[in-house]
Amino acid sequence: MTSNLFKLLLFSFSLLSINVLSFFNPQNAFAQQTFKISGTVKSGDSEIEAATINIIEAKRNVMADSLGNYEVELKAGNYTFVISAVGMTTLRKTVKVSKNAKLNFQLEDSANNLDEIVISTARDDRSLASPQMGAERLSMKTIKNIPLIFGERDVLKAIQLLPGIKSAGEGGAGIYVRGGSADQNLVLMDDVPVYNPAHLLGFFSTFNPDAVDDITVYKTGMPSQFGGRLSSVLDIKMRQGNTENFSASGGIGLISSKLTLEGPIQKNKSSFIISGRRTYVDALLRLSPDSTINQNTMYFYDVNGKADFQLGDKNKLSFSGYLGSDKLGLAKTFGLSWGNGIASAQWKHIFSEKLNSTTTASYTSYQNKIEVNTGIDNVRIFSQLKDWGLKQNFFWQASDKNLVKFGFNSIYHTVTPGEITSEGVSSYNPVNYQERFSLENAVFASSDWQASEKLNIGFGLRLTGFSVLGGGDFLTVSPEGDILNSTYYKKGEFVKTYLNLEPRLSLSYLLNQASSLKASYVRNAQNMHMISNSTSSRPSDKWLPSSLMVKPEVSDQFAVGYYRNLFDNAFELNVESYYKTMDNQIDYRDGAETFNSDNIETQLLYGIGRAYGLELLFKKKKGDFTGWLSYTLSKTERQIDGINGGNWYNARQDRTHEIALVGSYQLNKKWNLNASWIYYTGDAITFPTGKYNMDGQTFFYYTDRNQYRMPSYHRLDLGANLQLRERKNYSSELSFSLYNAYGRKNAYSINFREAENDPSKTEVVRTTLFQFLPSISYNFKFK
Amino acid sequence: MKNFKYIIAIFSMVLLLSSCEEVIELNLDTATEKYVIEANLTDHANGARVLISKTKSYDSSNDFVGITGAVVEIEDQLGNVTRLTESAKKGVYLHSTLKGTPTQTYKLKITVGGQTFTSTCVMPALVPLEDVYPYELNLFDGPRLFTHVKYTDPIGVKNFYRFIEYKNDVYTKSIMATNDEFTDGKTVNQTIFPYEFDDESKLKKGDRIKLEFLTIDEPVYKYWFSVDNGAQGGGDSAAPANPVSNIKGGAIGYFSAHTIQSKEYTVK
Repeated sequence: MTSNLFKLLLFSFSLLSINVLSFFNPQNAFAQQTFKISGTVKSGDSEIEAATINIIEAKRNVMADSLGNYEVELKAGNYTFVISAVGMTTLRKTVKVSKNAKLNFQLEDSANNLDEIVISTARDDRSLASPQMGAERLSMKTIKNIPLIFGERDVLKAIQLLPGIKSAGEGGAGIYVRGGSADQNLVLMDDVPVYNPAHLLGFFSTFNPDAVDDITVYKTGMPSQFGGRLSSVLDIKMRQGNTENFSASGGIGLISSKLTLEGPIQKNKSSFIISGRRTYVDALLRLSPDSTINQNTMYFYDVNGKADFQLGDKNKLSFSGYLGSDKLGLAKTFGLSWGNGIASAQWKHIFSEKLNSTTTASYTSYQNKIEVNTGIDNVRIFSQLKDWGLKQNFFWQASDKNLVKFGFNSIYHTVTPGEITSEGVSSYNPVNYQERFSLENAVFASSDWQASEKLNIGFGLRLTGFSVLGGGDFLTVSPEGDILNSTYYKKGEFVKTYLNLEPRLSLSYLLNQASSLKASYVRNAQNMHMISNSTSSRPSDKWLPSSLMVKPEVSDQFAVGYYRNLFDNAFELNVESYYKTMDNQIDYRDGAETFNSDNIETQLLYGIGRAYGLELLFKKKKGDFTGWLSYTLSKTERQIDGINGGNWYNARQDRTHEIALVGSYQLNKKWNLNASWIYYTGDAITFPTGKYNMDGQTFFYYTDRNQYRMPSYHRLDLGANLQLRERKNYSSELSFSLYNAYGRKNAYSINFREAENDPSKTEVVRTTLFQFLPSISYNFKFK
Repeated sequence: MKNFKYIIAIFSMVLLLSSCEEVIELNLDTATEKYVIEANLTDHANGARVLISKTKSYDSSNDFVGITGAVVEIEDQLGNVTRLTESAKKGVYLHSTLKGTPTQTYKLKITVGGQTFTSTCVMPALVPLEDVYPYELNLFDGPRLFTHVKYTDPIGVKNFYRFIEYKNDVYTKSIMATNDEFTDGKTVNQTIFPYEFDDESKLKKGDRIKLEFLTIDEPVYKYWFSVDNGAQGGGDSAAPANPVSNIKGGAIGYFSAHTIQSKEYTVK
């Protein structure tokens, strides 16, 4: 492995140097007389990052920069420009070049059927030619035509319909990507990590659909500016306010309502958007005449805000913020609240035609609080994770065949594992677990290079250094879990620095106009680890930075793929296969006590993982009927000393087959009908293989972990959107959906207990969560 | 931090209001039989009691099927070995006078079916039980009485406790064990949570409640703590596993040498 990596590195460096040399090659600089064509590529008000412009006759590929700007030098003549980006409908334009000129392009979401006709001659060369693989972009428009769940258009649920992305459980927002666990996804909200992307134990994601513009998922081949998680990058871009008109939009649903205000601050130059959402499950509880029910609290809210300022041609400033919180309360006795807070400032600057940059300063925090007020004991437990981050990306058009991206990323992590405080007389002592400090630095560079007409190469390198900082006590622990040594480090002292070199390589080869082959290799390292011992996303899940004992998790993924456009781009077929290995995977020991963070390392086991699979995606992109079929065949295993005798075993998320069928039919201008059907093999699970009497009751006996399976899961969801009468300043829409339309009794959990009518017998009980769950929501917009 | 688990459990139940439960059939393999040992020694006479049985398939009867013919011996710190005698009930081994002394170490040795199992346990010092009383808490299903246990934790030493509640002489099956990680040196009022939050488990007027208060050592605490991880067949633990046993030789179960005190009250 190591020697292969070394070769790969050498290869990458040699390519990089060739490109740099060719850039300084005088022949390039003083070519025949050329004209400069420049402009922007946008979608609505938002610039598109990494759009490509393929100039067919010139056999050239140009990438647009982070502000959507591009520039190309061409000899006089007629050219066909093909502009494309992931998830966008490809635009094809004929351009006559005879002088220096500005040329702006506006791309549409590929989901937008109505506009499809205009650009139906487009050939989706971009997705074929780009070396990027394993990436999917979904816009809110696409998500609109998928049935709602709980009346919400949740981005994290929509992407679960794509191959290789699995839901972590019924109705849950947690996802497993290509055999990774739920914490191995880098969830970014406008480039800032979100640590807990779930509300209400996972039934909602933290992303207010009205504030989201789009989501891009990278299952492999993550560009080198992304790092820090093993499995995937979920790059979620929030909407930018309208720079021309004020508008108010919102929605009223059965369990939540939301409102969004947006408009220009200075027309065409700056804008704001603010969007809020709150659920009112507890308002319904309060309506109950039963005083035992109406005193409970259960809600969440979130607020997103963003302001954008275009300062001349060369600068753009954006500020965005997010605040969300969940509150659960049992009368006045117990309270539980948790949430994320995010703030960021982003500056995009054009240094020159060839060099521009994006600088992001950010703060992100995730905290949870437990309050107990029994009258005897009044106790508060607080824990928090916060990051200060700085990210610098440069985009350098090294030549018109080579776009180089480079930069750095620094994050200062502070983990407060637990503080217990009490008021008055109490059974509890105040406790302060040691805070953990760490500094995560990364430098990265990548190049997208058109090596030949048919061959495109993307290569990148990311070097991460994770420094574990004092103060506090750092343990070394024996394999049996006993503390061998504990050393105190002063605040700010470097305890240990882990360096990881992460090469990324991807290739694409155009077989012909309509098909291509791709291959990629990517290494990722992860230094913030979440340890969870439950099956649902919970505020008790604990984030742990790497330490002396907890080593960085590392994954290597190899993937190959075949991509084909059919019937003049009306259909698309993608086939990808991957093999992934994961090192330093973490699990709890049996009977682990996980609250005490000072000694948490005595409770952990370490091992390795592997995952491989085949993914098929067949899309129909045009016409009144659109949709896709996705199929995943996969295997996910772990090997951990101390579990199942050190043998390979199925990870919980190992699902052999997974199918998703998604369809949307535009009946007429008013009605859109949609449906989705999913099927997957049940999760690997541990069931008892025996029982015994103990303590006067029946105890269950377990042998191997995850040797059984839950029953297979399938579900049909139906949805319909009705566009109501449109007025000049007002439009509205009704959305209906029916979750689990044929009422399949899927198992949420399977429990064993003494039979109710005969305690001498054991019965197996399946709990089903949602059958026939209807929802309706009303969405409106004032202009 | 047991409380925290309960809060989560309760909220999961709220979410599950729209759920439905159904008894289903599963086809599961049966693991090879293992010996199951439940061994107790207290600081009172008649407290030495060892139960020996075997694991069985999950669809067989829940009755206790004792294993006869075992040699069960408890050895004290001075090397005195006492053999327990098999009682009339199959698989139950007793001794009428053997009792332990707090702070002493005891060894258990069982020979049965050609196999030998051993364990060592320290009987911790006694911590006086100060009070057992009902106290009303307002949880999601309204006000409810909970038994509370008052004791003062000795400062500066690690202590582990177990609580056993009987309602009208019937064990409530709620397994409660705590340590003093957050309560070192404090006067503790421990809430005893029921096994299930149903109507049946509510304390009603006239109920006679008996609470046993045990001081246990760390491995025994670990055993009872880890019972939570699926031994009772429910929960949503991602990886259910057997409780962590302090018995060597491959048996399931535990050997607990503990002090025991009890108090009763009647719900008014």
